[in-house]
Amino acid sequence: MAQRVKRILPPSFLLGVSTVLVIAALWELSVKFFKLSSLFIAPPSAILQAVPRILSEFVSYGQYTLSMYALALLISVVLGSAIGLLMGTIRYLHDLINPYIGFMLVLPKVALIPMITLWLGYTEASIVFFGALLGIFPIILNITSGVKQTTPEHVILAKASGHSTPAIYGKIILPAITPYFFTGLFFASHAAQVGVIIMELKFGFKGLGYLLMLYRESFNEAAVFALVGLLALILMGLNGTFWYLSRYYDSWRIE
Amino acid sequence: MTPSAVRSIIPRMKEAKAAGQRKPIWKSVRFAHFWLLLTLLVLWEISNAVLGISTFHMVPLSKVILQMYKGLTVGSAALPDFFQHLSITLYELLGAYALALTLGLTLGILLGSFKLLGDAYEPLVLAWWSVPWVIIFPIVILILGVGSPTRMSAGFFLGFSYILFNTSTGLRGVDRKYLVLARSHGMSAFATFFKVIVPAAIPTIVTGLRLGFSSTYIGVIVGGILLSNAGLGFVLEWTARRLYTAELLGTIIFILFIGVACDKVFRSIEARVWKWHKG
Repeated sequence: MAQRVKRILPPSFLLGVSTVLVIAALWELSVKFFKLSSLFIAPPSAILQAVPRILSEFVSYGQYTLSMYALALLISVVLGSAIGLLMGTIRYLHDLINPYIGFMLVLPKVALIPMITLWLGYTEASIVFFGALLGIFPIILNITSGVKQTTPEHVILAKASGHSTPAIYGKIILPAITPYFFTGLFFASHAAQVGVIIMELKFGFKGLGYLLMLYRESFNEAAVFALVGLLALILMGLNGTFWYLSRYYDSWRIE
Repeated sequence: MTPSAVRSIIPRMKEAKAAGQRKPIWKSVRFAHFWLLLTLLVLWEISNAVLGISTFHMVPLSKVILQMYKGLTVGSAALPDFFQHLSITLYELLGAYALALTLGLTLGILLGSFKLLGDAYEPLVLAWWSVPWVIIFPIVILILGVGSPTRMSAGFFLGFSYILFNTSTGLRGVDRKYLVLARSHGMSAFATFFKVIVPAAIPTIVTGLRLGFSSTYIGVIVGGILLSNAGLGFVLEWTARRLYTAELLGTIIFILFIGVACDKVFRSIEARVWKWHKG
């Protein structure tokens, strides 16, 4: 019995959960005890009560943010995969643009925000563009290194036994890059979310970033915390799924 | 054919092979790089005159350099006090990085050295990292106000997770064989940590320090853009709002240059550590 309990609830899990609970309790008590102003901080109990109140607004504003994020991620996946596949298969192209890709990776791309808004205006286009700009490089990097992992021997063997080019792509190259693709997707998803949310906070006119600013300006602290908490949970679930997929396909990696 | 004749042919054959492999200069990648870069620069330079892009949208590099030089030496109405804002950003960057370094290394060593702590808190750290930190920025403004501490906190949150995570995974990833060997030689826990675990984990940790630094820098700049009342983020906003595009581009290039230069320094340190690690 004790063994089973220990297997289902290992001490590390209990320690993690109890730490979160203790922090929540300390937070609640310190707000009550020090009589902190509700203009600055809301206790966990008030945040939980605010969740059902903001739920309908959260869903309607969230659809907009979600569509911006989905579009940015889609663009970075499609374009990034195409560039990555080309760079992985054509040696000359790789040598030609790899230094620029490496340069763009270390560049603090947020400094380009004023330039993007100058070119595309305060519109959805600049939100999606910035999200895709942050998201595309992890995909390119991972797809390229995935294609390079496919050993030439496999491809030569397939060619020698008379397989067509589509078959070589479908049976050798695509399975080999699958784990790399999901790792790239995890980082790209995170980056696209960062990009979209920065832009919405900066000049939101719709979307959750705007709603967050609206609650803050009306000093509705419990609603601000509740919105951040809900959004954090959803994004954690989304990115966690991609993380799980990249772990799941890890065994497909070619050593 | 006598063996000596064969021996005299071999070097000549090698020479001929090497000459055959050497590509003509116009096929080499270096050559293509040069032309690509030159084309981009020329396109940038003629963007207003020939391509018909308005000067509000794009300014040629030569004019950017000229205007920045004028703004930095004589001072111009199109550029706020640049060096003061630069020093604010550098101060915020160093402060945030120092904090991220201290806390990240300390907590990373704790989580990496004690199995129970690592198992308990690593999932929490990963979950925390997978949430884009910018969504808590409005809350941080409420708590820390509209000054340097808020921008520093953005840098800190971003850099801290990388340092913490890389330190703890580096320490946890040390091969168990080394630890067993150290114990069988009767090394103390203290000696094992400094002589076995740290040298084995140091490349991962240094990578974390580099990623942490560039993330801290990004955080400080984002903080400046979202909360623009001082620092280089403020200069960006100020020039963009007034359509001083030459000064805006100059500031962007300056920010990008600092980021790339710091990354280069960290990479050279990393390469040295790797060399030392491999022996």
